Amino acid sequence: MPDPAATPRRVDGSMSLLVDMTEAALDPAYADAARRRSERLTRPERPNGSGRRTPLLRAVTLLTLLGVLTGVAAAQVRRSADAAGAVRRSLVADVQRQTKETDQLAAQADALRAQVAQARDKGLGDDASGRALAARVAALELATGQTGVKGPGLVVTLNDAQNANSGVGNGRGGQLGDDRIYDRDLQDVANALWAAGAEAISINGQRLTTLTAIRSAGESVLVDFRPLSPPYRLSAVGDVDAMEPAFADSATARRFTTYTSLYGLGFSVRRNADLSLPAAAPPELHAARDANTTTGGSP
Amino acid sequence: MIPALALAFGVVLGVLMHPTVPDALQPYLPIAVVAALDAVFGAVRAQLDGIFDDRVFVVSFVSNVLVAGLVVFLGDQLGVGGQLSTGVVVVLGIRIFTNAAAIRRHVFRA
Repeated sequence: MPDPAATPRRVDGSMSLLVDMTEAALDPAYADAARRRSERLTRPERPNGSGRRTPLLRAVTLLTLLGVLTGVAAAQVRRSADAAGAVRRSLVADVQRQTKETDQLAAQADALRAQVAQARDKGLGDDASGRALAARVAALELATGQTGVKGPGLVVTLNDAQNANSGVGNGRGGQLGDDRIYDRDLQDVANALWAAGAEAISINGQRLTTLTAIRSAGESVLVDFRPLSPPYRLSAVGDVDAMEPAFADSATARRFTTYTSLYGLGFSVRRNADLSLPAAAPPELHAARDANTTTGGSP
Repeated sequence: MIPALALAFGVVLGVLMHPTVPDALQPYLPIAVVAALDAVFGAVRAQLDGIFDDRVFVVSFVSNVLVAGLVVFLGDQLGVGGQLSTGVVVVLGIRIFTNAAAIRRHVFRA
């Protein structure tokens, strides 16, 4: 047992790992080898000269090996990054192509729907009951958002803050991502607009119906399962003179006015005398049946 | 001078040839390079201290590479490969810096 008084305790004793690492940075084997060599040299055996070539050769070989390793590793990293980039690019291209295809199909569906409506009106005939049915269908379509509508209304624009952080979370409690618009915000504003007396609403050209979902996937907001990007424009057709003060007075509008100054979110309300809202895609009802028809059957 | 040329030649060779590294060995390649660099910096410092010994250099080079690879391999098997490679890089990085500082003192006397 060593006497503790003989070797005074080092001040940095608690950091012995770091001390060891820096003090033994040079392999102690070099010192040992040098000592051994000097011991050998005191007993002269062989003159220097012939043994000088092999050490250099070995060092050169090893350094070449290290260079090859370094080059291969660097090339490998660069190549795998390239591969990842290529995958990403092809995915982006895929998404863009599919989005375009969806748009085309939606346009085709719109055209076909117009054809169906025309054929239906023709089929209903020109007598009194036919006209009454056609009028009822038209009224129902208007109310359920199956036709495009026009009229005066409000346009509410929501936008992320200028230099929004990316990050998910919509607590608005001073967390990361407070300066972005989320699905919940769009839901609140849409609900406030309905409450203020809006008769038809669309968000960035996606018409809201009773079955439209406003939700988010990752950082993007989906309306009717179509991804939207900011700024979000909510167009609401309705009685502007009643709607504007009612919306401005709503808790949601007041909250967003506060957010504008707190987090720099974009929030503006404008009147528009002539809004034009597109039709929504017809809901796909699989289980629901018309309660008035006794015979079931698919629609 | 000749060793430095050898290093540059090796890098060029490695980049130009880019041989395919087997997938199983890929994660160990950067660690091996860092370990080898540690041995090289140690050798340069020893050379400047006047105690360079080629046998020690060869042994430390090869054992550094093998041990670093082995430690990371073991970590991979235990599910802590990422943390262990961080540890290896930190330890070797500190040594490289310390030796580089010693080399700097030798060369510039500052």
